[in-house]
Amino acid sequence: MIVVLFFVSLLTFLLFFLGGSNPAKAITGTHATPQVLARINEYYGFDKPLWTQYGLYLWHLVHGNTGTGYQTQQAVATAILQRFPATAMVALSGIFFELAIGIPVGMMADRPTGQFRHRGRLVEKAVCGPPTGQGGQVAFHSAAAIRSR
Amino acid sequence: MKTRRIVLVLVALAALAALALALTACGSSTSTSSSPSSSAPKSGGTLRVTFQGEPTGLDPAIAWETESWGIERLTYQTFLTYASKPGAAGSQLVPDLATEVPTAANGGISDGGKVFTFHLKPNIKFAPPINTVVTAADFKWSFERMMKQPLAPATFFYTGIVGAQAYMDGKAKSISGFKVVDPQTVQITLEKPDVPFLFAMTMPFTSVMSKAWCTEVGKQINRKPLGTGPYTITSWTPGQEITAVRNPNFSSQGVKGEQWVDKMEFTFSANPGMALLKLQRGEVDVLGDPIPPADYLRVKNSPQWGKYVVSAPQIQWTYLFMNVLEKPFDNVKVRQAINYAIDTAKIEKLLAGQGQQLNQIFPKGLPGYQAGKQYYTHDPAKAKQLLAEAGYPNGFKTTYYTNNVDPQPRLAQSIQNDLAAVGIQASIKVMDRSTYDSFAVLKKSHCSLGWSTWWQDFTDPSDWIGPLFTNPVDGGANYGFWENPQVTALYNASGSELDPAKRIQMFQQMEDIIMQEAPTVPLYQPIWNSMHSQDTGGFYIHPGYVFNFQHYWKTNGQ
Repeated sequence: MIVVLFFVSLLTFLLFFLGGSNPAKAITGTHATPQVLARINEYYGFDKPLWTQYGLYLWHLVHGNTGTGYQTQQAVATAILQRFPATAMVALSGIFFELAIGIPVGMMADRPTGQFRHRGRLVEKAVCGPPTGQGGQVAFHSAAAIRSR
Repeated sequence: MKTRRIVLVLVALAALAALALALTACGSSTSTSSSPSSSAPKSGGTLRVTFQGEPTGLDPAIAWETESWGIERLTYQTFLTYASKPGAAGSQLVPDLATEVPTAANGGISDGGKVFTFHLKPNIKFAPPINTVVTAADFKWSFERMMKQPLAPATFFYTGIVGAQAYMDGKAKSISGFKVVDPQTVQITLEKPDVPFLFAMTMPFTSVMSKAWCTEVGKQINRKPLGTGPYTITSWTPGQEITAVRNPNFSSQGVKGEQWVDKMEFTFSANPGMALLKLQRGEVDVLGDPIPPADYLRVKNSPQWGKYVVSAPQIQWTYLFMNVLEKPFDNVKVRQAINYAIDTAKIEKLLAGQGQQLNQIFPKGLPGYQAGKQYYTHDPAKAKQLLAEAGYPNGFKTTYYTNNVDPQPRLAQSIQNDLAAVGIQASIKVMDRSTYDSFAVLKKSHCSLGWSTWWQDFTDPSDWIGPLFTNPVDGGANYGFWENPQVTALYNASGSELDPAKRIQMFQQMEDIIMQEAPTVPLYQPIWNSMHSQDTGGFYIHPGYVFNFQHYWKTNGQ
């Protein structure tokens, strides 16, 4: 779990900084002089080596300091909390649809007769499979089912 | 059978839920528009404006975008501003919180252009809950706050003030050149004469703020602005809306015509196509973004809606740059040839109302612009002749760099064709917007041929020549890395020329030299196409600021 979190944080961090963008320029726009950009780079530590920046980022993160947005100047923690209701709604809707489809499919799979049971199992795996890494198995079984006709 | 029915019911419920969610996401209230518009201003009502983006913040020390400035200028004021009128009249410098524009004649500019004196209008009050009267000390405090703000992007306009750099470096406790002479008078002394400093004092970076309010809200000042302007910001839901209501203390300034509507509602994250539909349904009054190019001609030519379309050329230009550090663009004849090769009339046609051709450096609306002036005609034969003289009778191969934002890819093809017609084989390299912005400015990119755009910081030709055609530094705005000692000398001398007419003549001289040396090909001047609702009165697009929301009213008082 910790390993996954570490790689997620690393990937997010790298995507931001290696995307070819210039965060200082994103803050100021294109009219700022190189001296102004240098000052902002220094302020945020953008001029430090990437590994140093990542280390500082992790250090702040584990101490609960998510900092402030570069452009919005708003506390990141506040920004996350403000968007939380919308995120919660999307997540809950996702769970709702999974249940709405999964429960009847599960019930189909539970029937003692052959065909419905097998098909129900496949759909169950299709719905629940990918999130738990079983998508590959579904593809395999579907292919097997088609071949066996 | 039973199972199947349960399945059907659940799927139906799921579909209904999806529909409900979708509707809440798109839902909005409707309102009726009423009687035909009248031309006399009317008090009352709510002005509803849509923006696709959102101000990143409303701290005047930091904010520098159209959305931010349009809303910020409802709340914050500066000593000077530009006349709130469309067209050429909008390029005139006028006082805002100052009693008059400093000139040599009224003694406001003295010591050969080094000392600027501003007299503060009496009885200017901060909005509630602060309510105190503004004094010169408030200006000094606000200015020093801005110069010390690490994220302030525009300090370079003001580092010419005596003691400013020392203050920024932490070597002084205040800016010695920014003096509070008395509670109603500010005197600013520069290291050397610099007439454009006057124009830099129109920018919202120099707004007066309340120390008491900044102390109270701390970092939230970015989200909770408070100034002396006609409106106060009462709410800001990030990503969604900002609401502004009338500032009751503004009337003490005795200014008319800046507080018609009771309330303004700015909605963000609005897709411009959807915003247009909403305006036509009567739910929106002003489009904060230009009319989508795909819809523009249809709406403009519509008998019902055409009269609500308002177009204004912006004080902005889009141009080709040639990197004089890269062969063969170090050869002046090659650069002149390319000027003859490009067909700006064709580009204007391609833009279909989004821009008008420009054949000089200064766009219409900028002092220095000369109607009908064209430095280079479209003459492919002349271009080929010059290329032959330069040693390229069969042309050469090069790369044209651009970003992927419309209309640039389409214009790139037109430019490629124009160059091919004179023997120059240009391959097109497209990048995304922010990558291109970072790429083109660096010497190590060897970006030999590309385009750029520049919009005004303030309405003066020094803002064109200085950043773009002097002092080439890595990462700066002089994309061609070009300079010329004559132009630089003229530019430096213009800083102390107090006669406005002579000053403009000097800039036209600089323009002549630049266009003779041809490190650039002017292409076009963007046009802002906006639209307002049937019930909006007084609407215009300002050549520099774009929007002056405080000047618009609702003809039905709603």
